[in-house]
Amino acid sequence: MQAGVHFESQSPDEEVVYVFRAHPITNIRWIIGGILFSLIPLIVAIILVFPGPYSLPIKNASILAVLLVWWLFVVGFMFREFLVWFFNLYIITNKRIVDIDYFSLFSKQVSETPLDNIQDITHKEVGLLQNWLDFGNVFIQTAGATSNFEFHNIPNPDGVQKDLMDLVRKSRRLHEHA
Amino acid sequence: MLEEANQIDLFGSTGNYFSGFGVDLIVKIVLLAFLSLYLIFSLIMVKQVSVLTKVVETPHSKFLVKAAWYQFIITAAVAVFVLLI
Repeated sequence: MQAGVHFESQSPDEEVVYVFRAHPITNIRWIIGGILFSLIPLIVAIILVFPGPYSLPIKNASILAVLLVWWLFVVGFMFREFLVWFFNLYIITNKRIVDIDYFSLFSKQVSETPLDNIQDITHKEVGLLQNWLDFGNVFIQTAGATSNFEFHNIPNPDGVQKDLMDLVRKSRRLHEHA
Repeated sequence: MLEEANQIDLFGSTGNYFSGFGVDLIVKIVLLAFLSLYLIFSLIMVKQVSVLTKVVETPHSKFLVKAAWYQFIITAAVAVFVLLI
Protein backbone atom coordinates (compact mmCIF):
# COMPACT_ATOMS: atom_id res chain seq x y z
CA MET A 1 0.00 0.00 0.00
CA GLN A 2 1.29 3.44 -0.87
CA ALA A 3 0.60 5.73 2.07
CA GLY A 4 0.02 9.37 1.33
CA VAL A 5 -0.35 9.08 -2.44
CA HIS A 6 -3.51 10.44 -4.01
CA PHE A 7 -4.21 11.28 -7.60
CA GLU A 8 -6.60 13.66 -9.30
CA SER A 9 -9.23 11.23 -10.60
CA GLN A 10 -9.16 8.89 -7.61
CA SER A 11 -12.61 7.92 -6.39
CA PRO A 12 -13.34 7.90 -2.62
CA ASP A 13 -13.61 4.10 -2.42
CA GLU A 14 -10.46 3.53 -4.46
CA GLU A 15 -7.19 2.52 -2.79
CA VAL A 16 -3.77 3.12 -4.27
CA VAL A 17 -1.98 -0.22 -4.05
CA TYR A 18 1.27 0.52 -5.91
CA VAL A 19 2.98 3.59 -7.29
CA PHE A 20 5.95 3.10 -9.59
CA ARG A 21 8.27 5.35 -11.45
CA ALA A 22 11.30 4.53 -13.55
CA HIS A 23 14.33 3.18 -11.67
CA PRO A 24 16.50 6.04 -10.30
CA ILE A 25 19.46 4.79 -12.34
CA THR A 26 17.62 5.96 -15.50
CA ASN A 27 18.43 9.51 -14.38
CA ILE A 28 22.17 8.92 -14.64
CA ARG A 29 22.42 10.54 -18.10
CA TRP A 30 21.17 13.97 -17.05
CA ILE A 31 23.00 13.78 -13.71
CA ILE A 32 26.35 13.20 -15.45
CA GLY A 33 25.43 15.82 -18.07
CA GLY A 34 24.63 18.32 -15.33
CA ILE A 35 27.90 17.67 -13.50
CA LEU A 36 29.90 18.05 -16.74
CA PHE A 37 28.06 21.24 -17.65
CA SER A 38 28.81 22.58 -14.16
CA LEU A 39 32.53 22.02 -14.67
CA ILE A 40 32.82 23.58 -18.16
CA PRO A 41 32.61 27.25 -17.03
CA LEU A 42 35.27 26.63 -14.37
CA ILE A 43 37.75 25.64 -17.08
CA VAL A 44 36.72 28.62 -19.24
CA ALA A 45 37.01 30.95 -16.24
CA ILE A 46 40.52 29.72 -15.51
CA ILE A 47 41.55 30.40 -19.13
CA LEU A 48 40.00 33.86 -19.05
CA VAL A 49 41.42 34.90 -15.68
CA PHE A 50 45.04 33.82 -16.11
CA PRO A 51 47.21 36.21 -18.17
CA GLY A 52 47.56 35.10 -21.76
CA PRO A 53 46.23 35.76 -25.26
CA TYR A 54 42.67 34.87 -24.27
CA SER A 55 42.59 36.68 -20.96
CA LEU A 56 39.81 39.20 -20.58
CA PRO A 57 40.20 42.40 -18.58
CA ILE A 58 37.17 41.47 -16.58
CA LYS A 59 36.42 41.91 -12.90
CA ASN A 60 36.46 38.79 -10.75
CA ALA A 61 32.94 39.70 -9.62
CA SER A 62 31.76 39.53 -13.25
CA ILE A 63 33.30 36.09 -13.67
CA LEU A 64 31.62 34.99 -10.45
CA ALA A 65 28.29 36.37 -11.74
CA VAL A 66 28.65 34.43 -15.03
CA LEU A 67 29.47 31.26 -13.06
CA LEU A 68 26.49 31.76 -10.76
CA VAL A 69 24.09 32.30 -13.66
CA TRP A 70 25.46 29.27 -15.52
CA TRP A 71 25.07 27.07 -12.44
CA LEU A 72 21.60 28.44 -11.90
CA PHE A 73 20.64 27.30 -15.41
CA VAL A 74 22.26 23.90 -14.87
CA VAL A 75 20.43 23.42 -11.55
CA GLY A 76 17.19 24.56 -13.21
CA PHE A 77 17.70 22.03 -16.00
CA MET A 78 18.41 19.26 -13.47
CA PHE A 79 15.38 20.20 -11.38
CA ARG A 80 13.17 20.10 -14.49
CA GLU A 81 14.53 16.66 -15.44
CA PHE A 82 13.98 15.43 -11.89
CA LEU A 83 10.37 16.65 -11.92
CA VAL A 84 9.65 14.93 -15.23
CA TRP A 85 11.04 11.69 -13.79
CA PHE A 86 9.25 12.12 -10.46
CA PHE A 87 5.82 12.74 -11.96
CA ASN A 88 6.01 10.05 -14.63
CA LEU A 89 4.03 7.57 -12.62
CA TYR A 90 2.38 4.22 -12.97
CA ILE A 91 -0.36 3.79 -10.41
CA ILE A 92 -2.13 0.56 -9.59
CA THR A 93 -5.26 0.80 -7.49
CA ASN A 94 -7.70 -1.87 -6.38
CA LYS A 95 -9.84 -0.94 -9.41
CA ARG A 96 -7.61 0.13 -12.30
CA ILE A 97 -4.18 1.01 -13.55
CA VAL A 98 -3.27 4.59 -14.35
CA ASP A 99 -0.32 5.64 -16.49
CA ILE A 100 0.68 9.29 -16.13
CA ASP A 101 3.23 10.29 -18.77
CA TYR A 102 4.92 13.66 -18.75
CA PHE A 103 6.83 14.41 -21.94
CA SER A 104 7.89 17.76 -20.56
CA LEU A 105 6.65 19.80 -17.61
CA PHE A 106 3.82 21.20 -19.69
CA SER A 107 2.56 18.20 -21.63
CA LYS A 108 1.10 15.07 -20.16
CA GLN A 109 -0.90 12.05 -21.15
CA VAL A 110 -2.99 10.07 -18.69
CA SER A 111 -4.21 6.61 -19.65
CA GLU A 112 -6.17 4.22 -17.50
CA THR A 113 -7.95 0.93 -17.72
CA PRO A 114 -9.97 -1.17 -15.24
CA LEU A 115 -8.20 -4.21 -13.83
CA ASP A 116 -10.86 -6.43 -15.42
CA ASN A 117 -9.73 -5.29 -18.86
CA ILE A 118 -6.24 -6.67 -18.38
CA GLN A 119 -5.69 -9.82 -20.39
CA ASP A 120 -2.02 -10.50 -20.41
CA ILE A 121 1.04 -9.18 -18.58
CA THR A 122 4.63 -9.73 -19.65
CA HIS A 123 7.87 -8.26 -18.42
CA LYS A 124 11.21 -7.78 -20.05
CA GLU A 125 14.67 -7.09 -18.66
CA VAL A 126 17.21 -6.43 -21.38
CA GLY A 127 20.92 -5.86 -20.92
CA LEU A 128 23.45 -6.05 -18.17
CA LEU A 129 22.33 -3.00 -16.22
CA GLN A 130 18.66 -4.00 -16.15
CA ASN A 131 19.54 -7.53 -15.00
CA TRP A 132 22.00 -6.39 -12.35
CA LEU A 133 19.78 -3.68 -10.93
CA ASP A 134 16.54 -5.60 -11.46
CA PHE A 135 14.51 -3.15 -13.49
CA GLY A 136 12.74 -3.41 -16.81
CA ASN A 137 9.55 -2.97 -18.77
CA VAL A 138 6.16 -4.44 -18.02
CA PHE A 139 3.73 -4.78 -20.93
CA ILE A 140 0.05 -4.97 -20.15
CA GLN A 141 -2.28 -6.13 -22.87
CA THR A 142 -5.85 -4.98 -22.46
CA ALA A 143 -9.13 -6.10 -23.94
CA GLY A 144 -11.13 -4.20 -26.51
CA ALA A 145 -10.20 -0.97 -28.18
CA THR A 146 -8.21 0.42 -25.26
CA SER A 147 -4.53 0.81 -25.92
CA ASN A 148 -2.00 -1.43 -24.27
CA PHE A 149 0.05 -0.22 -21.34
CA GLU A 150 3.79 -0.15 -20.94
CA PHE A 151 5.52 0.52 -17.66
CA HIS A 152 9.02 1.56 -18.61
CA ASN A 153 12.14 0.83 -16.56
CA ILE A 154 10.31 0.06 -13.34
CA PRO A 155 12.11 -1.69 -10.48
CA ASN A 156 11.30 -5.35 -9.82
CA PRO A 157 9.19 -5.98 -12.96
CA ASP A 158 8.84 -9.66 -12.07
CA GLY A 159 7.23 -8.85 -8.70
CA VAL A 160 5.01 -6.21 -10.30
CA GLN A 161 3.79 -8.71 -12.88
CA LYS A 162 2.90 -11.25 -10.17
CA ASP A 163 1.22 -8.72 -7.87
CA LEU A 164 -0.72 -7.14 -10.71
CA MET A 165 -1.91 -10.55 -11.89
CA ASP A 166 -3.08 -11.33 -8.32
CA LEU A 167 -5.00 -8.05 -8.22
CA VAL A 168 -6.61 -8.81 -11.58
CA ARG A 169 -7.69 -12.25 -10.34
CA LYS A 170 -9.09 -10.77 -7.12
CA SER A 171 -10.97 -8.12 -9.05
CA ARG A 172 -12.47 -10.71 -11.41
CA ARG A 173 -13.52 -12.91 -8.49
CA LEU A 174 -15.21 -9.94 -6.83
CA HIS A 175 -17.11 -9.12 -10.00
CA GLU A 176 -18.13 -12.73 -10.55
CA HIS A 177 -19.55 -12.98 -7.02
CA ALA A 178 -21.30 -9.61 -7.24
CA MET B 1 56.73 49.09 -31.94
CA LEU B 2 54.70 48.24 -28.89
CA GLU B 3 53.67 51.86 -28.57
CA GLU B 4 52.46 51.83 -32.19
CA ALA B 5 50.47 48.71 -31.59
CA ASN B 6 48.90 50.30 -28.59
CA GLN B 7 47.99 53.41 -30.56
CA ILE B 8 46.06 51.48 -33.19
CA ASP B 9 44.37 49.40 -30.54
CA LEU B 10 40.75 50.53 -30.82
CA PHE B 11 39.76 49.27 -27.43
CA GLY B 12 42.46 50.51 -25.14
CA SER B 13 46.14 50.91 -24.64
CA THR B 14 47.22 47.71 -22.95
CA GLY B 15 47.75 45.68 -26.10
CA ASN B 16 44.78 43.49 -25.21
CA TYR B 17 41.99 43.85 -27.76
CA PHE B 18 39.31 43.49 -25.15
CA SER B 19 40.61 46.19 -22.82
CA GLY B 20 38.56 49.34 -22.52
CA PHE B 21 35.68 47.65 -24.26
CA GLY B 22 33.51 47.66 -21.18
CA VAL B 23 33.37 43.90 -21.02
CA ASP B 24 31.99 44.07 -17.49
CA LEU B 25 29.10 46.22 -18.65
CA ILE B 26 28.29 43.89 -21.55
CA VAL B 27 28.46 40.88 -19.24
CA LYS B 28 26.15 42.64 -16.80
CA ILE B 29 23.57 43.53 -19.47
CA VAL B 30 23.57 40.05 -21.02
CA LEU B 31 23.29 38.36 -17.61
CA LEU B 32 20.47 40.64 -16.53
CA ALA B 33 18.59 39.92 -19.78
CA PHE B 34 18.96 36.18 -19.21
CA LEU B 35 18.09 36.45 -15.54
CA SER B 36 14.93 38.47 -16.14
CA LEU B 37 13.71 35.78 -18.55
CA TYR B 38 14.76 33.08 -16.13
CA LEU B 39 12.91 34.80 -13.28
CA ILE B 40 9.70 34.63 -15.29
CA PHE B 41 10.40 30.99 -16.14
CA SER B 42 11.06 30.19 -12.45
CA LEU B 43 7.74 31.72 -11.49
CA ILE B 44 5.97 29.66 -14.17
CA MET B 45 7.81 26.64 -12.79
CA VAL B 46 6.49 27.33 -9.26
CA LYS B 47 2.94 27.42 -10.61
CA GLN B 48 3.49 24.31 -12.73
CA VAL B 49 4.97 22.32 -9.83
CA SER B 50 1.97 23.16 -7.66
CA VAL B 51 -0.28 21.99 -10.53
CA LEU B 52 1.72 18.76 -10.82
CA THR B 53 1.45 18.11 -7.11
CA LYS B 54 -2.31 18.41 -7.41
CA VAL B 55 -2.43 15.83 -10.21
CA VAL B 56 -0.56 13.39 -7.98
CA GLU B 57 -0.21 14.19 -4.32
CA THR B 58 2.75 12.48 -2.68
CA PRO B 59 4.38 12.93 0.73
CA HIS B 60 7.09 14.99 -1.03
CA SER B 61 4.72 17.39 -2.78
CA LYS B 62 5.22 20.29 -0.36
CA PHE B 63 8.97 19.92 -0.54
CA LEU B 64 8.92 20.11 -4.35
CA VAL B 65 6.85 23.29 -4.32
CA LYS B 66 9.28 24.71 -1.76
CA ALA B 67 12.21 23.74 -3.99
CA ALA B 68 10.61 25.59 -6.92
CA TRP B 69 10.20 28.67 -4.70
CA TYR B 70 13.84 28.39 -3.59
CA GLN B 71 14.85 28.34 -7.24
CA PHE B 72 12.90 31.55 -7.83
CA ILE B 73 14.37 33.23 -4.72
CA ILE B 74 17.93 32.21 -5.60
CA THR B 75 17.44 33.50 -9.16
CA ALA B 76 16.23 36.82 -7.76
CA ALA B 77 19.21 36.95 -5.39
CA VAL B 78 21.65 36.32 -8.24
CA ALA B 79 19.91 39.05 -10.27
CA VAL B 80 20.41 41.50 -7.39
CA PHE B 81 24.06 40.46 -7.15
CA VAL B 82 24.56 41.07 -10.88
CA LEU B 83 22.90 44.47 -10.53
CA LEU B 84 25.24 45.41 -7.70
CA ILE B 85 28.56 44.42 -9.30
